[in-house]
Amino acid sequence: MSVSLGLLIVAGALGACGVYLLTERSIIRMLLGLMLVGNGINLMIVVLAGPPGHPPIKGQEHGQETGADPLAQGMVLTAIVITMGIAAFVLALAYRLFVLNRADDDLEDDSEDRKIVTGTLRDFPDRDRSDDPETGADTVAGDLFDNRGNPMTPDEFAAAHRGVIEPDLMPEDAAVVDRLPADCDEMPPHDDTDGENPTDPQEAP
Amino acid sequence: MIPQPSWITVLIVLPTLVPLLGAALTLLRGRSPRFQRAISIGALSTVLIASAMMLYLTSEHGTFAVKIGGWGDKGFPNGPLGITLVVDRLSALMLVVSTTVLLCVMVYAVGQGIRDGTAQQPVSIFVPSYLILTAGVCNAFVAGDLFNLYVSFEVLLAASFVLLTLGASADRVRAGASYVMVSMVSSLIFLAGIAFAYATTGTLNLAEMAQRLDDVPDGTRNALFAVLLVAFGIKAAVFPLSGWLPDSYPTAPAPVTAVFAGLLTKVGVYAIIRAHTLLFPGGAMDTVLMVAGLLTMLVGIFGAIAQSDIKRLLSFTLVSHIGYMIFGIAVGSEISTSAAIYYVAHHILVQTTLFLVVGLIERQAGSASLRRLGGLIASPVLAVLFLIPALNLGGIPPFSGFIGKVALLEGGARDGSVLAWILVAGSVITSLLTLYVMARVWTKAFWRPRADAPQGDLSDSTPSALILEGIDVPFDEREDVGRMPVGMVLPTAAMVGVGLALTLWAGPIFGFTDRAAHDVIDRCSYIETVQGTGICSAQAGEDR
Repeated sequence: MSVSLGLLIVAGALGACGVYLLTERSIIRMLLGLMLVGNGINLMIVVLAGPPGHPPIKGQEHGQETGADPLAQGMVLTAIVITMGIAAFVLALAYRLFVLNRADDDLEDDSEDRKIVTGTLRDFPDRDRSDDPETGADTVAGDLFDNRGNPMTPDEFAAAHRGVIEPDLMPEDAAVVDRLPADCDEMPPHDDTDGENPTDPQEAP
Repeated sequence: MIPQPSWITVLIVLPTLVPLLGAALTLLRGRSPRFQRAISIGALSTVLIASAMMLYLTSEHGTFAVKIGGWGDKGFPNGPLGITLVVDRLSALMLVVSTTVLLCVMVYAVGQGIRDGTAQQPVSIFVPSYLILTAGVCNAFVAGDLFNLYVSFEVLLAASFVLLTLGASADRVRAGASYVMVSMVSSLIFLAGIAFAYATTGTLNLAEMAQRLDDVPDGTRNALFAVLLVAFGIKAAVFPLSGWLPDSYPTAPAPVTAVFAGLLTKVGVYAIIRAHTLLFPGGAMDTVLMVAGLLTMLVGIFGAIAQSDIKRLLSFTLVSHIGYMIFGIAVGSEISTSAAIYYVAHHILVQTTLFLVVGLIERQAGSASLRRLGGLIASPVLAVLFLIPALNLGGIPPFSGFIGKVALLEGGARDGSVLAWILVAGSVITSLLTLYVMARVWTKAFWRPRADAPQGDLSDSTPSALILEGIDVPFDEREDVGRMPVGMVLPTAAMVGVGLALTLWAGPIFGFTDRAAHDVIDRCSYIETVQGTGICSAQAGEDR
């Protein structure tokens, strides 16, 4: 089977332009890219299905020996319909993004990704508030909670545990309790440096 | 082969047809949430029953096929044309697991909507889109035709676009737009693959293609396989093509993320299994798949370590564990393929369960971020619901995650090549790191007092169902959310239970997946069921 080189080149050019457009940030340009690539592939299916000039189904009985392949045409039609439906959806998305941004329809980077790139060890998920702010090591302040999770002062903690901890069974804990008033770390102040303003609505309704 | 009873024809189309009809009905009565709930749960239960019957039938008798349409006559160059639907043991198992998940998540979403929905919720488009997604997923599992597979991918993708952007907030539109673009690129690559395949073999029927591809030169075959693998690899989130997944999934509502995480990537994995065994046996791409599987495992789990948001963290573990399935597929022996199939079933269940539990955590504690959570151990029910699937995902012995991983490792060890041993080591490391990540979620969110969390004094103001409505408020001022709704806890508990059943009945289930793996590798039962008896054995004779 021979195929038309010209049409194949056209399909290739459509695909190449489409891929270039897909690398843009603007949704509309990406949509144009998708449609170009889609049309390029559809054209390719038609080209691969056989030479031009044959009747698809009807007309074969009128002297024509070979018919065009109806399966390929059916596939292309289906693909066109699907691309059209998705294009409508993407247009709605682009409009919505334009309404939200008020400026353009550019896709921003994921904010969580940016946080990980720009974040420091202080933002790492295994940090507690009681951790040492510099090194991240656990401090005694991390133990100063009662059974219901409420913070305690070192004196309350010592009072609550002095009778409970038996020095011969848990010498380490007993040592902690004894040392508490002397070298207890204060709970670090509230950490609000992560740029999340408590009153700022995260989600625009 | 046994003669097919005529009603099997009806049974095979039910999983596609019933949800589509249900979607139409629920769309017509969009203003009546109770009607929508009744129809959706009824439709999904019907599909589950039909799938279970098919599971029994395929388990007893093997493969069944039905040709819908049958247009054209025998004199036509390609024979009678129609839409071929095939259900073999692999498809039937996938159908049953998927519809179980879909039903449970639907019940969960209904429970959430009843309890937390407001005047604007439940969103009337949610149920129809969900049912269309169901139809797409089910049809993908029974498609016996490459183009039909493409169409079912498009059906489930179009529905997933709507579900992902529910409410169209800024976050969801951003996530949705990048998801739409990546999915469409993968679909176009798939379409290009279809064009090449059609030009090469002149057919798109999987069984017929499988026969004709045997005579195609190796170079052409491998090129075709590579194009299809890229298309399926994007859907399945295999490493170099996985970047889109953690970006887009976590912003969606909890039930939607749960279904996406459980099912959509697994449809891609299923397509890879089919292409690898039925269309392109011989393992031409096995080395590529193995390296990709190893990188998927490691890169995914390293990404998970850095995340504070539990939903994002779970999305990364999802990517990571796709690597296990790719490993099983790439080794290609019967035991490995069987293990990969078992692992797919296990992972669909466990990943969905975890996302449902995160939905509960988000509702009760007002956040899903490890920087805010703490003290969740106060609710023992929630703790148990989280702990079991978390240990399961981490591969702790009695659970199905352990069983699946051991089977995969055994397959790799029997293969014995250097690369397989590297993958065995990689999977053990990944398993340990998964356990580390899960243990961290446990210690931070459950054991640590909330006052000790870096941002523990912040939370969402109100629980929200499908559309986010809360704003950040101090934790003390948060409205009392009350106890966990029974409508959300029961389906989650049911999913945990199904996950445990996969452990308890691991023997019989492995027996089944062994036979499924034998079927897909042997190919004969598939090809003969579609093309007619004797073709496969005659060809095998010629080869000899």
